[in-house]
Amino acid sequence: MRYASGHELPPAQEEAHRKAVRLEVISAIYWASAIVLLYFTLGQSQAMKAAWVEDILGLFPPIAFLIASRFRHRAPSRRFPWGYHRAITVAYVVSTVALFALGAFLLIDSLDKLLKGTHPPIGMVEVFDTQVWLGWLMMGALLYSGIPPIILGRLKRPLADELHDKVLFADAKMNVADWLTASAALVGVTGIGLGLWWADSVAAIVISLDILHDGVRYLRQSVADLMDDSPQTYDEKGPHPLLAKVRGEVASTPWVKEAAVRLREEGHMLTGEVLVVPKSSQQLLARVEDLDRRLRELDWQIKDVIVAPVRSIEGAPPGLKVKPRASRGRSKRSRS
Amino acid sequence: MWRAWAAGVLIASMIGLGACQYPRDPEGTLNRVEGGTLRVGVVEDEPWVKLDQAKEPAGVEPELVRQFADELDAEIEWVEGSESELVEAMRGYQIDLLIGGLTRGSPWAKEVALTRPYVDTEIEFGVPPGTDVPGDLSGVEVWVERNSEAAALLEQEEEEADAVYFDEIEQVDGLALLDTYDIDAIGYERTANIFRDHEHAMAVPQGENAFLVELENFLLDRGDEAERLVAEEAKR
Repeated sequence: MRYASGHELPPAQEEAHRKAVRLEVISAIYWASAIVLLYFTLGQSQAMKAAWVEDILGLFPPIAFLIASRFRHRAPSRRFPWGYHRAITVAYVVSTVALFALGAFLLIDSLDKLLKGTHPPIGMVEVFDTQVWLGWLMMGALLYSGIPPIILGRLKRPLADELHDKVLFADAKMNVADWLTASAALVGVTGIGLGLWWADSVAAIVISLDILHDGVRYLRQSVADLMDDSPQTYDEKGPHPLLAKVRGEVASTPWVKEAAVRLREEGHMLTGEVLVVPKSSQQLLARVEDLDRRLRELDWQIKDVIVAPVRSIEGAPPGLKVKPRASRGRSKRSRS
Repeated sequence: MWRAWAAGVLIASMIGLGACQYPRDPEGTLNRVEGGTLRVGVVEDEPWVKLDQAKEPAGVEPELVRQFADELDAEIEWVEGSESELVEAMRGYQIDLLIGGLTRGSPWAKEVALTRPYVDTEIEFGVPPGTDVPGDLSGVEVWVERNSEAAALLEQEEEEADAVYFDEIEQVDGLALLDTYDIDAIGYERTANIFRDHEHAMAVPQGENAFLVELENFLLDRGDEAERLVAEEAKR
Protein backbone atom coordinates (compact mmCIF):
# COMPACT_ATOMS: atom_id res chain seq x y z
CA MET A 1 0.00 0.00 0.00
CA ARG A 2 1.20 3.45 -0.84
CA TYR A 3 0.98 6.29 1.65
CA ALA A 4 -1.61 8.69 0.22
CA SER A 5 0.06 11.62 -1.50
CA GLY A 6 -1.41 15.11 -1.54
CA HIS A 7 -2.53 14.55 -5.11
CA GLU A 8 -6.24 15.15 -5.65
CA LEU A 9 -7.69 15.44 -9.09
CA PRO A 10 -7.52 13.32 -12.25
CA PRO A 11 -7.00 15.22 -15.55
CA ALA A 12 -10.71 15.86 -16.31
CA GLN A 13 -11.33 17.33 -12.84
CA GLU A 14 -8.05 19.19 -12.97
CA GLU A 15 -9.37 20.95 -16.06
CA ALA A 16 -12.65 21.75 -14.28
CA HIS A 17 -10.65 23.09 -11.36
CA ARG A 18 -8.64 25.37 -13.64
CA LYS A 19 -11.92 26.74 -14.95
CA ALA A 20 -13.14 27.25 -11.41
CA VAL A 21 -9.98 29.13 -10.48
CA ARG A 22 -10.41 31.38 -13.49
CA LEU A 23 -14.05 32.02 -12.54
CA GLU A 24 -13.13 32.88 -9.00
CA VAL A 25 -10.37 35.23 -10.08
CA ILE A 26 -12.90 36.99 -12.31
CA SER A 27 -15.36 37.04 -9.38
CA ALA A 28 -12.82 38.56 -7.02
CA ILE A 29 -11.86 41.30 -9.51
CA TYR A 30 -15.49 41.94 -10.30
CA TRP A 31 -16.44 42.28 -6.61
CA ALA A 32 -13.57 44.62 -5.98
CA SER A 33 -14.77 46.85 -8.83
CA ALA A 34 -18.39 46.73 -7.61
CA ILE A 35 -17.24 47.72 -4.12
CA VAL A 36 -15.43 50.76 -5.51
CA LEU A 37 -18.35 51.76 -7.73
CA LEU A 38 -20.95 51.47 -4.99
CA TYR A 39 -18.74 53.35 -2.59
CA PHE A 40 -18.94 56.42 -4.81
CA THR A 41 -22.73 56.29 -5.10
CA LEU A 42 -23.45 55.56 -1.44
CA GLY A 43 -24.74 59.00 -0.56
CA GLN A 44 -26.85 59.10 2.57
CA SER A 45 -28.86 56.03 1.58
CA GLN A 46 -28.90 53.16 4.04
CA ALA A 47 -30.09 50.81 1.31
CA MET A 48 -26.99 51.49 -0.71
CA LYS A 49 -24.78 51.08 2.30
CA ALA A 50 -26.27 47.63 2.84
CA ALA A 51 -25.68 46.70 -0.80
CA TRP A 52 -22.10 47.82 -0.35
CA VAL A 53 -21.51 45.71 2.75
CA GLU A 54 -22.97 42.77 0.84
CA ASP A 55 -20.51 43.23 -1.94
CA ILE A 56 -17.69 43.20 0.56
CA LEU A 57 -19.01 39.94 2.00
CA GLY A 58 -19.23 38.65 -1.58
CA LEU A 59 -15.46 38.84 -1.78
CA PHE A 60 -14.98 36.24 0.95
CA PRO A 61 -15.88 33.02 -0.88
CA PRO A 62 -13.74 33.68 -3.99
CA ILE A 63 -10.77 34.67 -1.86
CA ALA A 64 -11.24 31.68 0.45
CA PHE A 65 -11.49 29.43 -2.59
CA LEU A 66 -8.38 30.83 -4.21
CA ILE A 67 -6.31 30.55 -1.05
CA ALA A 68 -7.54 27.02 -0.36
CA SER A 69 -6.83 25.93 -3.91
CA ARG A 70 -3.17 26.79 -3.45
CA PHE A 71 -2.91 24.54 -0.41
CA ARG A 72 -5.29 21.65 -1.06
CA HIS A 73 -2.87 19.38 -2.98
CA ARG A 74 0.28 19.86 -0.94
CA ALA A 75 2.00 16.65 0.09
CA PRO A 76 1.48 15.39 3.64
CA SER A 77 4.22 16.34 6.06
CA ARG A 78 5.20 15.70 9.62
CA ARG A 79 3.06 18.57 10.75
CA PHE A 80 0.10 17.72 8.46
CA PRO A 81 0.13 13.91 8.15
CA TRP A 82 -3.16 13.88 6.22
CA GLY A 83 -2.10 16.53 3.75
CA TYR A 84 -3.97 19.75 3.17
CA HIS A 85 -7.28 18.58 1.69
CA ARG A 86 -9.15 20.15 4.58
CA ALA A 87 -8.18 23.60 3.34
CA ILE A 88 -11.27 23.34 1.15
CA THR A 89 -13.44 22.57 4.16
CA VAL A 90 -12.01 25.55 6.01
CA ALA A 91 -12.80 27.75 3.01
CA TYR A 92 -16.29 26.27 3.00
CA VAL A 93 -16.79 27.38 6.61
CA VAL A 94 -15.51 30.87 5.76
CA SER A 95 -17.93 31.09 2.82
CA THR A 96 -20.93 29.92 4.77
CA VAL A 97 -20.12 32.33 7.59
CA ALA A 98 -20.11 35.10 4.98
CA LEU A 99 -23.48 33.92 3.66
CA PHE A 100 -24.93 33.78 7.15
CA ALA A 101 -23.49 37.18 8.04
CA LEU A 102 -24.98 38.65 4.89
CA GLY A 103 -28.46 37.44 5.80
CA ALA A 104 -28.16 38.46 9.44
CA PHE A 105 -26.75 41.89 8.63
CA LEU A 106 -29.44 42.59 6.06
CA LEU A 107 -32.24 41.54 8.39
CA ILE A 108 -31.02 43.53 11.40
CA ASP A 109 -30.19 46.57 9.30
CA SER A 110 -33.54 46.71 7.54
CA LEU A 111 -35.57 46.02 10.67
CA ASP A 112 -33.70 48.86 12.33
CA LYS A 113 -34.44 51.21 9.45
CA LEU A 114 -38.09 50.26 9.35
CA LEU A 115 -38.62 50.64 13.09
CA LYS A 116 -36.81 53.96 13.23
CA GLY A 117 -38.80 55.17 10.27
CA THR A 118 -35.73 56.38 8.42
CA HIS A 119 -36.68 58.40 5.35
CA PRO A 120 -33.66 58.06 3.08
CA PRO A 121 -32.71 61.32 1.36
CA ILE A 122 -31.51 61.00 -2.23
CA GLY A 123 -30.59 64.26 -3.88
CA MET A 124 -28.82 65.53 -6.96
CA VAL A 125 -25.24 64.96 -8.00
CA GLU A 126 -23.13 66.54 -10.63
CA VAL A 127 -21.47 64.15 -13.07
CA PHE A 128 -19.29 65.76 -15.71
CA ASP A 129 -21.14 69.07 -15.37
CA THR A 130 -24.54 67.44 -15.73
CA GLN A 131 -26.98 67.34 -12.86
CA VAL A 132 -28.40 63.90 -12.25
CA TRP A 133 -30.68 62.51 -9.57
CA LEU A 134 -28.44 60.24 -7.48
CA GLY A 135 -31.20 57.61 -7.54
CA TRP A 136 -30.58 56.91 -11.23
CA LEU A 137 -26.87 56.42 -10.55
CA MET A 138 -27.69 54.10 -7.67
CA MET A 139 -29.90 52.02 -9.93
CA GLY A 140 -27.08 51.79 -12.46
CA ALA A 141 -24.61 50.74 -9.80
CA LEU A 142 -27.05 48.16 -8.46
CA LEU A 143 -27.60 46.67 -11.89
CA TYR A 144 -23.86 46.40 -12.21
CA SER A 145 -23.64 44.60 -8.88
CA GLY A 146 -26.72 42.47 -9.57
CA ILE A 147 -26.51 41.05 -13.07
CA PRO A 148 -23.00 39.50 -13.32
CA PRO A 149 -23.53 37.34 -10.19
CA ILE A 150 -26.44 35.59 -11.92
CA ILE A 151 -24.10 34.48 -14.71
CA LEU A 152 -21.15 33.72 -12.41
CA GLY A 153 -23.37 31.71 -10.07
CA ARG A 154 -24.73 29.62 -12.92
CA LEU A 155 -21.27 28.83 -14.22
CA LYS A 156 -20.09 27.74 -10.77
CA ARG A 157 -22.82 25.20 -10.00
CA PRO A 158 -21.79 22.45 -12.47
CA LEU A 159 -18.13 22.83 -11.49
CA ALA A 160 -19.06 22.47 -7.82
CA ASP A 161 -20.77 19.22 -8.71
CA GLU A 162 -17.88 17.82 -10.74
CA LEU A 163 -15.24 18.72 -8.17
CA HIS A 164 -17.35 17.97 -5.13
CA ASP A 165 -16.38 21.50 -4.14
CA LYS A 166 -18.62 22.98 -1.49
CA VAL A 167 -16.80 26.32 -1.49
CA LEU A 168 -17.82 26.81 -5.10
CA PHE A 169 -21.31 25.78 -4.21
CA ALA A 170 -21.52 28.19 -1.27
CA ASP A 171 -20.13 30.90 -3.52
CA ALA A 172 -22.79 30.17 -6.14
CA LYS A 173 -25.38 30.50 -3.37
CA MET A 174 -23.78 33.77 -2.37
CA ASN A 175 -24.06 35.00 -5.95
CA VAL A 176 -27.75 34.22 -5.95
CA ALA A 177 -28.08 36.05 -2.65
CA ASP A 178 -26.22 38.98 -4.13
CA TRP A 179 -28.43 39.52 -7.09
CA LEU A 180 -31.47 39.08 -4.87
CA THR A 181 -30.26 41.80 -2.52
CA ALA A 182 -29.33 44.03 -5.44
CA SER A 183 -32.83 43.67 -6.85
CA ALA A 184 -34.28 44.35 -3.40
CA ALA A 185 -32.23 47.53 -3.18
CA LEU A 186 -33.36 48.41 -6.69
CA VAL A 187 -36.98 48.02 -5.68
CA GLY A 188 -36.11 50.03 -2.58
CA VAL A 189 -34.54 52.96 -4.44
CA THR A 190 -37.40 52.96 -6.94
CA GLY A 191 -39.82 52.95 -4.03
CA ILE A 192 -38.03 55.82 -2.33
CA GLY A 193 -38.39 57.73 -5.59
CA LEU A 194 -42.12 57.11 -5.40
CA GLY A 195 -42.24 58.51 -1.91
CA LEU A 196 -42.57 55.08 -0.29
CA TRP A 197 -39.84 55.46 2.30
CA TRP A 198 -40.48 51.98 3.74
CA ALA A 199 -40.25 50.18 0.40
CA ASP A 200 -36.60 49.40 0.61
CA SER A 201 -36.64 48.09 4.17
CA VAL A 202 -39.56 45.81 3.44
CA ALA A 203 -38.02 44.46 0.24
CA ALA A 204 -34.76 43.89 2.07
CA ILE A 205 -36.42 42.07 4.99
CA VAL A 206 -38.16 39.61 2.70
CA ILE A 207 -34.93 38.81 0.92
CA SER A 208 -32.84 38.70 4.07
CA LEU A 209 -35.07 35.93 5.42
CA ASP A 210 -34.41 33.89 2.29
CA ILE A 211 -30.66 34.41 2.59
CA LEU A 212 -30.61 33.81 6.32
CA HIS A 213 -32.40 30.51 5.80
CA ASP A 214 -29.70 29.34 3.39
CA GLY A 215 -26.99 30.83 5.59
CA VAL A 216 -28.05 28.95 8.71
CA ARG A 217 -28.48 25.71 6.80
CA TYR A 218 -25.10 25.72 5.07
CA LEU A 219 -23.26 27.10 8.07
CA ARG A 220 -24.51 24.13 10.07
CA GLN A 221 -23.46 21.79 7.29
CA SER A 222 -20.00 23.27 7.01
CA VAL A 223 -19.41 23.04 10.72
CA ALA A 224 -20.72 19.47 10.60
CA ASP A 225 -18.12 18.79 7.91
CA LEU A 226 -15.45 19.92 10.34
CA MET A 227 -17.01 17.58 12.88
CA ASP A 228 -16.47 14.71 10.40
CA ASP A 229 -20.11 14.04 9.74
CA SER A 230 -21.03 11.45 7.17
CA PRO A 231 -20.27 12.66 3.60
CA GLN A 232 -22.99 14.53 1.76
CA THR A 233 -23.35 15.57 -1.84
CA TYR A 234 -21.81 18.95 -2.77
CA ASP A 235 -25.18 20.67 -2.40
CA GLU A 236 -25.95 18.96 0.94
CA LYS A 237 -29.07 17.47 -0.59
CA GLY A 238 -28.38 13.92 0.60
CA PRO A 239 -25.81 11.27 1.48
CA HIS A 240 -22.81 11.10 -0.83
CA PRO A 241 -23.34 8.28 -3.38
CA LEU A 242 -19.80 6.96 -2.81
CA LEU A 243 -20.73 5.98 0.72
CA ALA A 244 -23.17 3.36 -0.55
CA LYS A 245 -20.65 2.24 -3.17
CA VAL A 246 -17.93 1.66 -0.59
CA ARG A 247 -20.30 -0.21 1.67
CA GLY A 248 -21.46 -2.27 -1.29
CA GLU A 249 -17.91 -3.10 -2.29
CA VAL A 250 -17.07 -4.24 1.24
CA ALA A 251 -20.29 -6.19 1.55
CA SER A 252 -19.60 -8.06 -1.64
CA THR A 253 -16.14 -9.15 -0.56
CA PRO A 254 -16.37 -12.90 0.14
CA TRP A 255 -13.71 -13.12 2.86
CA VAL A 256 -15.29 -10.43 5.03
CA LYS A 257 -17.24 -11.74 7.97
CA GLU A 258 -18.26 -8.40 9.33
CA ALA A 259 -17.19 -4.81 8.75
CA ALA A 260 -17.73 -1.18 9.78
CA VAL A 261 -17.22 1.73 7.41
CA ARG A 262 -16.68 5.30 8.55
CA LEU A 263 -15.99 8.00 6.00
CA ARG A 264 -15.63 11.74 6.25
CA GLU A 265 -15.08 14.59 3.84
CA GLU A 266 -11.74 16.26 3.65
CA GLY A 267 -12.42 18.98 1.14
CA HIS A 268 -12.67 17.32 -2.24
CA MET A 269 -11.66 13.93 -0.88
CA LEU A 270 -13.33 11.23 1.18
CA THR A 271 -11.17 9.57 3.78
CA GLY A 272 -11.79 7.14 6.59
CA GLU A 273 -11.45 3.58 7.72
CA VAL A 274 -12.91 0.26 6.80
CA LEU A 275 -12.64 -2.10 9.77
CA VAL A 276 -12.99 -5.67 8.63
CA VAL A 277 -13.27 -8.91 10.54
CA PRO A 278 -11.93 -11.57 8.16
CA LYS A 279 -13.40 -15.05 8.09
CA SER A 280 -9.87 -16.42 8.30
CA SER A 281 -6.39 -15.02 8.42
CA GLN A 282 -5.47 -16.88 5.27
CA GLN A 283 -3.72 -14.62 2.74
CA LEU A 284 -4.86 -11.69 4.80
CA LEU A 285 -2.30 -9.12 3.61
CA ALA A 286 -2.97 -9.81 -0.05
CA ARG A 287 -6.73 -9.65 0.51
CA VAL A 288 -6.57 -6.41 2.40
CA GLU A 289 -4.44 -4.84 -0.28
CA ASP A 290 -6.82 -6.08 -2.94
CA LEU A 291 -9.84 -4.53 -1.16
CA ASP A 292 -7.87 -1.33 -0.70
CA ARG A 293 -7.14 -1.22 -4.44
CA ARG A 294 -10.75 -1.89 -5.37
CA LEU A 295 -11.93 0.91 -3.12
CA ARG A 296 -9.51 3.35 -4.73
CA GLU A 297 -10.72 2.33 -8.15
CA LEU A 298 -14.27 3.29 -7.23
CA ASP A 299 -13.63 7.01 -7.62
CA TRP A 300 -10.90 9.64 -7.65
CA GLN A 301 -12.24 11.01 -4.38
CA ILE A 302 -11.04 7.93 -2.54
CA LYS A 303 -7.28 7.85 -2.14
CA ASP A 304 -6.83 7.63 1.60
CA VAL A 305 -9.20 5.04 3.00
CA ILE A 306 -7.53 2.58 5.31
CA VAL A 307 -8.62 -1.04 5.37
CA ALA A 308 -7.88 -2.37 8.83
CA PRO A 309 -8.29 -6.07 9.64
CA VAL A 310 -9.45 -6.61 13.22
CA ARG A 311 -10.49 -9.57 15.33
CA SER A 312 -13.88 -8.15 16.22
CA ILE A 313 -15.86 -4.94 16.08
CA GLU A 314 -17.54 -4.24 19.34
CA GLY A 315 -19.70 -1.26 20.04
CA ALA A 316 -19.73 0.08 16.48
CA PRO A 317 -22.99 1.98 15.87
CA PRO A 318 -25.38 -0.23 13.96
CA GLY A 319 -25.64 2.28 11.10
CA LEU A 320 -21.96 1.93 10.33
CA LYS A 321 -21.82 -1.84 10.29
CA VAL A 322 -21.76 -3.71 7.02
CA LYS A 323 -23.25 -7.15 6.87
CA PRO A 324 -21.73 -9.05 3.99
CA ARG A 325 -24.20 -10.20 1.41
CA ALA A 326 -23.52 -13.83 0.76
CA SER A 327 -23.53 -15.12 -2.79
CA ARG A 328 -27.21 -14.14 -2.81
CA GLY A 329 -26.28 -10.47 -2.75
CA ARG A 330 -23.79 -10.83 -5.53
CA SER A 331 -26.15 -12.64 -7.86
CA LYS A 332 -28.72 -9.92 -7.25
CA ARG A 333 -26.20 -7.37 -8.42
CA SER A 334 -25.21 -9.25 -11.51
CA ARG A 335 -28.85 -9.59 -12.49
CA SER A 336 -29.53 -5.87 -12.42
CA MET B 1 -35.82 33.07 -12.54
CA TRP B 2 -39.38 34.15 -11.76
CA ARG B 3 -38.00 36.39 -9.08
CA ALA B 4 -35.95 38.34 -11.61
CA TRP B 5 -39.02 38.86 -13.75
CA ALA B 6 -41.19 39.80 -10.80
CA ALA B 7 -38.62 42.38 -9.68
CA GLY B 8 -38.32 43.78 -13.21
CA VAL B 9 -42.05 44.09 -13.71
CA LEU B 10 -42.47 45.61 -10.26
CA ILE B 11 -39.81 48.26 -10.88
CA ALA B 12 -41.11 49.08 -14.35
CA SER B 13 -44.67 49.52 -13.12
CA MET B 14 -43.51 51.56 -10.13
CA ILE B 15 -41.63 53.95 -12.41
CA GLY B 16 -44.58 54.02 -14.82
CA LEU B 17 -46.95 54.99 -12.01
CA GLY B 18 -44.60 57.64 -10.77
CA ALA B 19 -43.89 59.16 -14.17
CA CYS B 20 -45.70 62.39 -13.29
CA GLN B 21 -43.34 63.32 -10.45
CA TYR B 22 -40.15 61.41 -9.77
CA PRO B 23 -38.73 61.29 -7.19
CA ARG B 24 -41.65 61.99 -4.87
CA ASP B 25 -41.99 63.14 -1.25
CA PRO B 26 -43.34 60.71 1.34
CA GLU B 27 -44.81 63.70 3.22
CA GLY B 28 -45.71 65.70 0.12
CA THR B 29 -43.63 68.78 1.02
CA LEU B 30 -43.14 70.09 -2.51
CA ASN B 31 -46.79 69.81 -3.44
CA ARG B 32 -47.85 71.59 -0.25
CA VAL B 33 -45.31 74.40 -0.57
CA GLU B 34 -46.05 75.16 -4.21
CA GLY B 35 -48.57 78.00 -4.16
CA GLY B 36 -48.68 77.71 -0.36
CA THR B 37 -46.38 78.53 2.52
CA LEU B 38 -42.69 77.74 2.84
CA ARG B 39 -41.73 77.45 6.50
CA VAL B 40 -38.09 78.40 6.88
CA GLY B 41 -36.08 77.87 10.04
CA VAL B 42 -33.40 80.55 10.46
CA VAL B 43 -30.33 80.54 12.70
CA GLU B 44 -28.21 83.68 12.95
CA ASP B 45 -24.78 83.31 11.33
CA GLU B 46 -23.36 86.31 9.49
CA PRO B 47 -22.99 86.80 6.59
CA TRP B 48 -25.23 83.82 5.76
CA VAL B 49 -28.20 84.76 7.91
CA LYS B 50 -28.64 88.13 9.63
CA LEU B 51 -31.54 88.53 12.01
CA ASP B 52 -33.06 91.79 13.13
CA GLN B 53 -36.28 91.86 15.16
CA ALA B 54 -37.62 94.82 13.23
CA LYS B 55 -36.91 93.48 9.76
CA GLU B 56 -37.15 90.38 7.62
CA PRO B 57 -34.13 88.04 7.87
CA ALA B 58 -31.32 89.21 5.61
CA GLY B 59 -28.03 87.78 4.34
CA VAL B 60 -26.98 85.41 1.59
CA GLU B 61 -29.29 82.55 2.41
CA PRO B 62 -32.56 84.41 3.11
CA GLU B 63 -31.97 86.18 -0.20
CA LEU B 64 -31.65 82.86 -2.04
CA VAL B 65 -34.64 81.45 -0.18
CA ARG B 66 -36.77 84.42 -1.23
CA GLN B 67 -35.90 83.73 -4.86
CA PHE B 68 -36.68 80.04 -4.38
CA ALA B 69 -40.04 80.85 -2.81
CA ASP B 70 -40.80 83.16 -5.73
CA GLU B 71 -40.16 80.31 -8.09
CA LEU B 72 -42.52 78.08 -6.17
CA ASP B 73 -45.04 80.91 -5.84
CA ALA B 74 -44.94 80.42 -2.07
CA GLU B 75 -45.27 82.72 0.95
CA ILE B 76 -42.44 82.50 3.46
CA GLU B 77 -42.97 81.96 7.16
CA TRP B 78 -39.71 82.62 9.04
CA VAL B 79 -39.13 80.55 12.18
CA GLU B 80 -36.31 81.65 14.48
CA GLY B 81 -34.63 79.27 16.87
CA SER B 82 -31.50 77.42 17.82
CA GLU B 83 -30.08 74.82 15.49
CA SER B 84 -30.97 71.85 17.68
CA GLU B 85 -34.50 73.15 18.24
CA LEU B 86 -35.10 73.69 14.54
CA VAL B 87 -33.59 70.32 13.58
CA GLU B 88 -36.07 68.64 15.92
CA ALA B 89 -38.91 70.64 14.37
CA MET B 90 -37.69 69.56 10.94
CA ARG B 91 -37.58 65.90 11.93
CA GLY B 92 -41.26 66.22 12.72
CA TYR B 93 -41.97 68.07 9.44
CA GLN B 94 -42.85 71.36 11.18
CA ILE B 95 -40.45 73.35 9.01
CA ASP B 96 -39.56 72.74 5.38
CA LEU B 97 -36.18 74.38 5.10
CA LEU B 98 -33.39 75.22 7.51
CA ILE B 99 -30.68 77.83 6.90
CA GLY B 100 -27.95 79.36 9.02
CA GLY B 101 -24.49 78.84 7.56
CA LEU B 102 -24.82 75.06 7.55
CA THR B 103 -22.02 73.15 5.87
CA ARG B 104 -21.82 69.61 4.50
CA GLY B 105 -19.68 68.71 7.49
CA SER B 106 -22.53 69.57 9.83
CA PRO B 107 -23.13 67.13 12.68
CA TRP B 108 -26.84 67.30 11.82
CA ALA B 109 -26.29 65.43 8.54
CA LYS B 110 -27.79 62.28 10.04
CA GLU B 111 -30.97 64.02 11.18
CA VAL B 112 -31.75 66.16 8.16
CA ALA B 113 -30.96 66.01 4.45
CA LEU B 114 -28.30 68.47 3.37
CA THR B 115 -28.32 69.81 -0.16
CA ARG B 116 -25.31 69.68 -2.44
CA PRO B 117 -23.03 72.59 -1.59
CA TYR B 118 -24.21 75.70 -3.43
CA VAL B 119 -21.09 77.71 -2.64
CA ASP B 120 -17.65 76.86 -1.26
CA THR B 121 -15.64 79.14 1.00
CA GLU B 122 -12.37 78.48 2.72
CA ILE B 123 -10.50 79.68 5.73
CA GLU B 124 -7.08 80.53 4.39
CA PHE B 125 -4.19 82.94 4.68
CA GLY B 126 -4.80 86.36 3.16
CA VAL B 127 -1.94 88.72 2.50
CA PRO B 128 -1.71 92.42 1.62
CA PRO B 129 -1.34 92.71 -2.16
CA GLY B 130 2.19 92.06 -3.34
CA THR B 131 3.36 90.16 -0.26
CA ASP B 132 3.83 86.45 0.40
CA VAL B 133 3.30 84.02 3.28
CA PRO B 134 6.71 83.51 4.92
CA GLY B 135 8.11 79.99 4.57
CA ASP B 136 8.71 79.70 8.30
CA LEU B 137 5.90 80.94 10.52
CA SER B 138 7.58 80.74 13.90
CA GLY B 139 7.23 84.08 15.59
CA VAL B 140 5.37 85.56 12.63
CA GLU B 141 2.31 87.67 13.53
CA VAL B 142 -0.96 86.36 12.12
CA TRP B 143 -4.23 88.26 12.47
CA VAL B 144 -7.25 86.21 13.49
CA GLU B 145 -10.68 87.18 14.74
CA ARG B 146 -10.94 86.85 18.50
CA ASN B 147 -12.69 83.62 19.66
CA SER B 148 -13.25 82.43 16.10
CA GLU B 149 -12.88 79.14 14.23
CA ALA B 150 -9.91 80.67 12.41
CA ALA B 151 -8.22 81.38 15.74
CA ALA B 152 -8.74 77.75 16.77
CA LEU B 153 -7.34 76.47 13.48
CA LEU B 154 -4.28 78.65 13.78
CA GLU B 155 -3.61 77.42 17.29
CA GLN B 156 -4.02 73.77 16.23
CA GLU B 157 -2.04 73.82 13.03
CA GLU B 158 0.52 76.61 13.30
CA GLU B 159 1.50 76.66 16.95
CA GLU B 160 4.69 78.62 16.39
CA ALA B 161 2.85 81.48 14.73
CA ASP B 162 2.10 84.48 16.90
CA ALA B 163 -1.66 85.13 16.91
CA VAL B 164 -2.84 88.74 16.96
CA TYR B 165 -6.54 89.12 17.67
CA PHE B 166 -8.92 91.60 16.07
CA ASP B 167 -12.52 92.47 16.92
CA GLU B 168 -13.28 94.50 13.81
CA ILE B 169 -12.00 93.41 10.42
CA GLU B 170 -10.73 96.95 9.78
CA GLN B 171 -8.00 96.38 12.39
CA VAL B 172 -6.27 93.73 10.24
CA ASP B 173 -2.84 94.84 9.17
CA GLY B 174 -0.72 92.18 7.52
CA LEU B 175 -0.84 88.38 7.20
CA ALA B 176 -4.24 87.13 8.38
CA LEU B 177 -6.19 83.88 8.60
CA LEU B 178 -9.66 84.72 7.28
CA ASP B 179 -12.71 83.52 5.41
CA THR B 180 -12.10 83.90 1.69
CA TYR B 181 -14.93 86.45 1.33
CA ASP B 182 -13.36 88.62 4.05
CA ILE B 183 -10.00 88.41 2.29
CA ASP B 184 -11.68 89.70 -0.87
CA ALA B 185 -13.68 92.31 1.02
CA ILE B 186 -10.63 94.01 2.54
CA GLY B 187 -8.76 93.91 -0.76
CA TYR B 188 -6.19 91.32 0.36
CA GLU B 189 -4.94 88.49 -1.83
CA ARG B 190 -5.89 84.84 -1.31
CA THR B 191 -3.14 82.28 -0.98
CA ALA B 192 -3.43 78.58 -1.68
CA ASN B 193 -2.79 78.03 2.02
CA ILE B 194 -6.16 76.53 2.99
CA PHE B 195 -6.93 75.59 6.58
CA ARG B 196 -10.56 74.53 6.19
CA ASP B 197 -13.08 74.04 3.45
CA HIS B 198 -16.68 75.12 4.05
CA GLU B 199 -19.18 73.61 1.66
CA HIS B 200 -22.30 75.62 2.32
CA ALA B 201 -25.61 73.85 2.16
CA MET B 202 -29.22 74.13 3.27
CA ALA B 203 -31.22 71.45 5.04
CA VAL B 204 -34.58 69.88 4.25
CA PRO B 205 -36.44 67.03 5.99
CA GLN B 206 -34.98 63.61 5.29
CA GLY B 207 -36.65 61.63 2.55
CA GLU B 208 -38.50 64.58 1.01
CA ASN B 209 -36.68 63.90 -2.21
CA ALA B 210 -38.85 65.81 -4.67
CA PHE B 211 -38.45 68.94 -2.58
CA LEU B 212 -34.73 68.24 -2.10
CA VAL B 213 -34.19 67.81 -5.83
CA GLU B 214 -36.20 70.97 -6.59
CA LEU B 215 -34.11 73.00 -4.16
CA GLU B 216 -30.82 71.50 -5.34
CA ASN B 217 -31.63 72.23 -8.96
CA PHE B 218 -32.48 75.79 -7.97
CA LEU B 219 -29.25 76.22 -6.02
CA LEU B 220 -27.01 74.56 -8.57
CA ASP B 221 -28.24 77.04 -11.16
CA ARG B 222 -27.34 79.91 -8.87
CA GLY B 223 -23.71 79.26 -8.05
CA ASP B 224 -22.64 82.64 -9.45
CA GLU B 225 -25.54 84.47 -7.85
CA ALA B 226 -24.55 82.97 -4.48
CA GLU B 227 -20.90 84.03 -4.94
CA ARG B 228 -22.04 87.56 -5.76
CA LEU B 229 -24.29 87.70 -2.69
CA VAL B 230 -21.49 86.48 -0.44
CA ALA B 231 -19.09 89.12 -1.75
CA GLU B 232 -21.76 91.80 -1.34
CA GLU B 233 -22.61 90.80 2.22
CA ALA B 234 -18.94 90.65 3.20
CA LYS B 235 -18.39 94.22 2.05
CA ARG B 236 -21.04 95.59 4.42
